[in-house]
Amino acid sequence: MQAPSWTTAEARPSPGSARLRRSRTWRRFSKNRLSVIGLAFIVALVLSALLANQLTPYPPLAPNFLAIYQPPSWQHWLGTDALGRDMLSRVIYSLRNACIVGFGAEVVELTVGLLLGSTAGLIGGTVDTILMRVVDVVYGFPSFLFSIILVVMIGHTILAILIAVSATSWVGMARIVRSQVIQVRQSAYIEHARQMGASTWQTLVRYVLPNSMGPVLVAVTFGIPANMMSEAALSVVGLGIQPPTPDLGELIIIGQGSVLSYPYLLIWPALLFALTLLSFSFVGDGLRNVFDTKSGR
Amino acid sequence: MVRFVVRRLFFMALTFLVISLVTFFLMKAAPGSFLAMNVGVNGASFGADQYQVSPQVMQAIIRHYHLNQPWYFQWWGFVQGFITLHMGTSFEYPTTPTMTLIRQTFPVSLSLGLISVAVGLSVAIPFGIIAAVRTDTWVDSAAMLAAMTGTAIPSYVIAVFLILLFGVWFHIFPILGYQGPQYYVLPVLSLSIPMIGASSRYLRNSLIENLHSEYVIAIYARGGSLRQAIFGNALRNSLLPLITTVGPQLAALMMGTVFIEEMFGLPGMGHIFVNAAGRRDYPLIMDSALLYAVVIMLMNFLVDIVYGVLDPRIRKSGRMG
Repeated sequence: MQAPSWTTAEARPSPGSARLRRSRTWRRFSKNRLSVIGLAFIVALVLSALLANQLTPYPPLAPNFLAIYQPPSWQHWLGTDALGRDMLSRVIYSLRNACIVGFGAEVVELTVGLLLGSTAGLIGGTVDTILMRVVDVVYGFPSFLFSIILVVMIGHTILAILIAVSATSWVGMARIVRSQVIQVRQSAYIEHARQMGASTWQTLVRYVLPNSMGPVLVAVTFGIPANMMSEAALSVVGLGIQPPTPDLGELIIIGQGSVLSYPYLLIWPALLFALTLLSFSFVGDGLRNVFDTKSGR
Repeated sequence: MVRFVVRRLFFMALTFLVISLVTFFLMKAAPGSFLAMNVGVNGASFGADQYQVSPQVMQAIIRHYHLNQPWYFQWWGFVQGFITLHMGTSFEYPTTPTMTLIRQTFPVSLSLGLISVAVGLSVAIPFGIIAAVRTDTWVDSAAMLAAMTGTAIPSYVIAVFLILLFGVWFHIFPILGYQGPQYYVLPVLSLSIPMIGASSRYLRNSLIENLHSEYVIAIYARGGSLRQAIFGNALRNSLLPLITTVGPQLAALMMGTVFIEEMFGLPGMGHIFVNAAGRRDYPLIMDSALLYAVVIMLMNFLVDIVYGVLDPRIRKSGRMG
C-alpha cells in the first residue's frame, strides 16, 4: 500500500492516481498556514531531539561556576542558570525528554487503544459491554492523581513516567477506535469483503483499520502534547524525572523561584514549551481539515 | 430520571471501590514504607526522632491501621474510615486528625476550582457569542486564536506568563502566598483561561450550527432579528450541550489545582497530597485520592443532573444517554 490509505473520504477507488490524492491531502492540510508552520516546528523539534548531542553547545549537566546567572549572550544564547549550566543545552535536552515521553506514551496508548477498541468494535456483544464498562470506570479515575501514585510506586525514571502518563489516557483512544470500527464495519464494502470470504482478522487489517485511521491520527496528534503536559506537570510537583536531568517542568519551577531577578530563566523554557504544544495543536487542526470536510473548523 | 440517578449512583459506587482498590495496591506495591523510613537500624528509630514519633507510637500506629492484618482488612479499614468520615490520623501528622487537615486545606482547593469555573463560564459565553455572530471576521479569528492558545497550553505554563506579566513587569498582583483575595487572582486566571478557550470555541461552533438550522430561518422569515434568533432560541439550544462539557472540565480543573497550588504556594489539598505521595503516608494518600475521586465524580454527577433537569426532552421522558 503505497497510497496514503487513511484518506477516509477518498477510500473508494477513484480515477485519481495516488500522487494526485496525496497532493489533494496536502492542499487541504496547507489551507491553514498555521498548520504548515506547526509541522515545520515539530520537524525541527524532532530533529533537534535526535541530534541533541551534536547540537548543544555545552553539556547540559556541566556546571561552570565562573559563569553563573549569565544573561543571554553570544556564548550562552539563553543565558546560564544558578550553577552556570547553559540554558540552551538544558532546554534542548528537556525538550528531548518531553518528546520521548510524548511520542512513547502515545505509542503505548495507540497499541492498547487499537487492540481493545477494535476487539470491542468487531466482536461486539458481551465482550464489547465488558470492555466498555472497564473503559468507563478508568475514565472516571482522577488521572493525574493516578499518575502521581504510579510514579511514586515505580520510580522516577523516564520509563516509569512514560508508563504513568499512558496508564489512563489509552481510554480515549479505545473509545475512538471502537466507534470508528463500528461505523466502518457497517459500510457496504465490508459486507462485500465478508461475502467474498474474508475472515474477521483479514477484514480488520485490510479494510477496517486503514479506513478508520483518520480520526485516530487526529487523536494521536492531540495526544502527544497532552502527554508532554502530564510529563512536565509531574516535574512541576517535584515527582518527575530526577533533578540533574533537565526537564521542562523543573526548569519552569526553578525559573519561577528566581523570576524577580532572572526572568529569562523562566521565559525561554516556558515559551519553547508553549510553542511546541501549539504546533501540535495547529497540525491537529490541519489534519482535522483533511479528514473531516463537514465541520469547517 | 429516577432510574438514571440510581444507575449513576451505582456506577459511582463501583468506580469508587475500584479506585480505592487500585490505589491501595499501588500503595502497597510502592518500594519503601513510611514505617521502614522511620524505624532504623537495630530498631533504633532515627526517623522517628525526626518526627518525634516513638516506637511505642509506631506500634500503636501499626495496630491502629491494621498493618499487621490481611490486606482486605486494611483496605476495608481505609474505605470504612473514609465513608464514615472517621479517618483517624495519618503517619506524618500523628497529632492532627486527617479530617481536620482536610477541613483546613480542601476549601482552598475547592473554592479555587469553583471560582475558576465561574469566571471561565462567564467570560466564555459572551466570547463565544461574539465569535459566532461575527464569523470569519478578525474578531472571530482573534477570539478563536486566543481560544486555541488557551486550550493548547496547560495552566501551569499560562501561570508562568501571568506571573511574568502581572507580577514581574507590572507589579499588579502578588505571585506567591495566601493572605487575601488578591492572591487568588493569578491562580484563578491561570486555571480559567484554558477553560475559556475550550468553552468559547465549543459554544461558537454549536451556535453557528444552530443559527443555520431551519427553526432560525423560520424566525427570520417571520421578521425576527438576529438578536431575537440568538437570545430567543439558538443560545438556549447551544448552552445545553455546553453544560455537558463543564463536567470533564471541572475534573481537569480540580487536577489543575494540584500544580497551581504548588506554583503559587497556596495551602491547599493538592500540596498535602503531593507531599503524602512522596513520603508514603498511606492513610493520607488513600484519603486524599479518594476525596479527589469523590469530588470529581460528584461534580460530573451534578452536571448531568442539571442537564437532565434543563433539557425538556430528558425531563419529560426521564431517559438519558
